[in-house]
Amino acid sequence: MAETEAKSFEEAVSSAASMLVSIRHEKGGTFVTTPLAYPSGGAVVIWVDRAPPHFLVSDYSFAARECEIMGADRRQFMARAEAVAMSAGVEIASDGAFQVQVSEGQLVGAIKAIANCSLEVAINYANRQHQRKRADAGLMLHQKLVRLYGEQHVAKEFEFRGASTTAWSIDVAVTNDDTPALFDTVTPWFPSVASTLAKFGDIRLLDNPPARTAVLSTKDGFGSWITALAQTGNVLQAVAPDDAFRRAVLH
Amino acid sequence: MPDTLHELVKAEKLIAAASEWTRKGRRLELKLPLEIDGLIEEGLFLRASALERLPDREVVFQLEYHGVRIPGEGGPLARVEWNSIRPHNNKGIGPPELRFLEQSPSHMHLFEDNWSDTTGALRGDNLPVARPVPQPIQGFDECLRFVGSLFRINNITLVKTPEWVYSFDL
Repeated sequence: MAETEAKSFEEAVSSAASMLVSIRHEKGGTFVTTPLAYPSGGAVVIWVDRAPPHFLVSDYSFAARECEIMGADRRQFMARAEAVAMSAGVEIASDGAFQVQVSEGQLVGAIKAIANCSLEVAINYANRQHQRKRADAGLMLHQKLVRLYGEQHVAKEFEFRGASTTAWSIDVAVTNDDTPALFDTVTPWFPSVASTLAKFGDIRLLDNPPARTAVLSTKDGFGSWITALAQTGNVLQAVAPDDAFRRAVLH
Repeated sequence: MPDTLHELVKAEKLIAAASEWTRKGRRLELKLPLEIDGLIEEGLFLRASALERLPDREVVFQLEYHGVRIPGEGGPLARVEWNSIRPHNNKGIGPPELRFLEQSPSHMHLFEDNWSDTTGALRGDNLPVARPVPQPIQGFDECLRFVGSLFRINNITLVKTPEWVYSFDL
């Protein structure tokens, strides 16, 4: 933590608040640095362009770039950005910038709206990345189990009925025994965790339930969800050693 | 051949094929495949981004991996943001001495700062931990050399200077 000079409480807070927003005037307009931050930690910066007698407020396509460097192509970005822009009543420029032309009296609201659109689409895409990582973890899991047990004994999207007779789709199953061993990949995202809990919770109520293993894309971000998952089956990380997977199959 | 993301970052690399910057509206973009020991690694790229009308500002270089051969959360692996007009903030994560501090104008998102040995993966959210560059970078050529050294890309000078538009009005 950086050392700062001693100030009164009010002075310290006032000083911090005064630095939350800053501006940089250029020839053609002004950059406004807001207190908002993209998932990457970069500040959300807004560009206000001259359009006399109006003002053209945009995010200078910074959100488009944030998404691109996370791996988004134009279609993936635009699909999300158009929905965000529509709900906020602003436009999308050809380069993916959120923008709106407003009067002076609307300037504050427009800057806030554009900043929030820019942030929202970046968060939206970051969440999508979390989901994609589940698919990556699933692929890694499948490759690992095929290597350990051979392709003929490993099934993807394996259907298995729980005590409720619901037919659940399990990501990967090892079927080299009478009873399959079930593996479901999970990302630190509520719907993903809830899905695996529902499947394994139902299957474990069978008289002779098969081995069930939740495979985590990473261990980060799960918190007490790991405890919940451990109540319905084994829990492994996708990068766990081969021996841990062999034990999970035998469990 | 690197078998982990850490080895991939540390490996000596070459730009496999140089290309021109592409204009996308206000942005100039570049994405170049990288080779290691004679093999162009699937999904391994140097990505760069600049703003057409902001010469020598807001330049981003990123090392990224989108292949499936190497486990551990692909995507951005390391990034340098030179003369960024957008201050960076690590929020409450990363090295304690850098938490909640505004980093401006140049900073780097190191693989090591964003890697977790506990989870065996990079943190989510696009390399959220950054630190200031060790010393100010003077000019695009110096920036290239810094990036080349950091990402271990030995022929980084193949990257051309962006075709910035120098004008009095943005």
